[in-house]
Amino acid sequence: MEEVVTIDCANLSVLEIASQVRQAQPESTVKLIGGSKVASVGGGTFSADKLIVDFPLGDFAAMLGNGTFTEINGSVGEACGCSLASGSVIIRGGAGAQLAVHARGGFVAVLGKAGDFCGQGLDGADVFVRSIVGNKAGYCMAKGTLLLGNGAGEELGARMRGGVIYVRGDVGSLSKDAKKVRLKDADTMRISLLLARVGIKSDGKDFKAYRSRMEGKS
Amino acid sequence: MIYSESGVLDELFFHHAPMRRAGEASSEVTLQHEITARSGGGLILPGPLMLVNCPALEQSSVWMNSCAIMHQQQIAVFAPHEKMAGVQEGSTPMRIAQTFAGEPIDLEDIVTADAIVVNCWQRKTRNSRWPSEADARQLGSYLDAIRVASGGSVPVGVGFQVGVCEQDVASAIDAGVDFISVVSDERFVSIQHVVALRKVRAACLRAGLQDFVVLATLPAVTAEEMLKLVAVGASMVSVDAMLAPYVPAITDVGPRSSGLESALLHALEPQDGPVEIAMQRVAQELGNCTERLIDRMAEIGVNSLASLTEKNLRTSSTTLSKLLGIEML
Repeated sequence: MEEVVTIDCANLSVLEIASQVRQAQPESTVKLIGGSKVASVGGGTFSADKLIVDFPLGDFAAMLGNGTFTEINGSVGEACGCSLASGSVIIRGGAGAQLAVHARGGFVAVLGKAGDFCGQGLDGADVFVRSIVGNKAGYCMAKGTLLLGNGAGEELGARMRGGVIYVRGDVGSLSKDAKKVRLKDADTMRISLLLARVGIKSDGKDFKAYRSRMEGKS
Repeated sequence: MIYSESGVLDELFFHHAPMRRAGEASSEVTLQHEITARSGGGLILPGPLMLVNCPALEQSSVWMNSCAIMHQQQIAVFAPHEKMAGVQEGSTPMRIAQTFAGEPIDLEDIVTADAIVVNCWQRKTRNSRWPSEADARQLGSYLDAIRVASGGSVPVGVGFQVGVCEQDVASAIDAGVDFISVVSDERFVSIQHVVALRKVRAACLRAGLQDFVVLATLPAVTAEEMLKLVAVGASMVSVDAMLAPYVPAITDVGPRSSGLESALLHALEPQDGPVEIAMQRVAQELGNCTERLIDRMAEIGVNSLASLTEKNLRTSSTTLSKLLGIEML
């Protein structure tokens, strides 16, 4: 039976929380309770399979995360999932600016809204935002997938170099560095698989696809 | 006074201790410097020297040799973890990982490092900025996130370019950095480098930090210059400028070349070819530098780097006297 370790984060510093999380056994679930807007939690590599956080987190949550399934029952601050290496991060609230900035792998899903510069410098990870996002989503994106479920703000895909952005709904404005492309079967398949990871059933056909104008050019 | 490009350290002189018998004090001198990181982890600096950016020594044909030399001379090395792939563990006394503003962080790089520097400028453009994911108010959380990811005990410092303002240094100290790195790519040590070191020291003292590590990637060329920079405020000084005349010429073949080409090139080189001779000179130069540092510290009358301060200096310059608060000759 899976072991569940509960850590009361009230009166614990970030490094103390991290130290206790690291002591969890492999294949266990760690549950964090009692904290509030603690920054820098949930990053790095640790043995536990799953990390559940029952309070909102501050900035840099799950930064440099590697391999763990992290579920945050609340909102997060800025740069959640920064430089994520692998694993999944599910945020049941909203996220601040620079969601999944420079994330290299893994999957970040926000079931609320996200701020500006969502997916900035994305370098291989998959990112999904169910509600509205701010401006400059996909800024300097190099690789990976950005899936936006309720439109996008201004300057979508500014300085985009690669990867793909899928948007359902209206786009405030499209940056000159990005272009709309035809949605192919492979795209709809990818969209439906990503949405299935957060329990949403969709065939993906109501999304539009955007790629970098530089793609394919040396 | 208008300083020539290489003149500012020439205006500083060490105040010597009373005469000692030759060889008497040398055995008491230690170049190691132990610090306790503010986050709780400990760090022993192997010495006052570090190798920061020397592509010629990092090329694949000489990298193992370079590591062996740095290990022998107890010189810390700035190198990414992928460079250490073929290097035996413990072959460098200290490996320092670097991150730059606007670039992703490699988890493997920081987990295996002995110390981490978060540089506040963009690598390509050299534009100064806080790490793009953070500004001054977020810096503490950013550094904590790096500490968490790296295991909690790796000292994390912030790197600034020379010309940094005191407010930025103070923000970094408030954010809880374990050390500060000051970097310049100028060709000669000038007054701005001395000013930068003093700014960092002044900010540390205002925060109540007496023993704070400052890494100085500055163009010191001789052991004497390195010691003067230590007295002014550096804890470690780079050897890049000193080694520049001795490092082997770039011989690496390009990235698209095959392994056969590089094997042939290596096979065609004579046993005591120019690369081997250059590496011997590098090792000799570093050895001479370390010996000179120890001898000089003994002459000055200090047993450790921590006890070498501006109080050991005198100057013939009014400007430096006011800047450093030291006596004039």
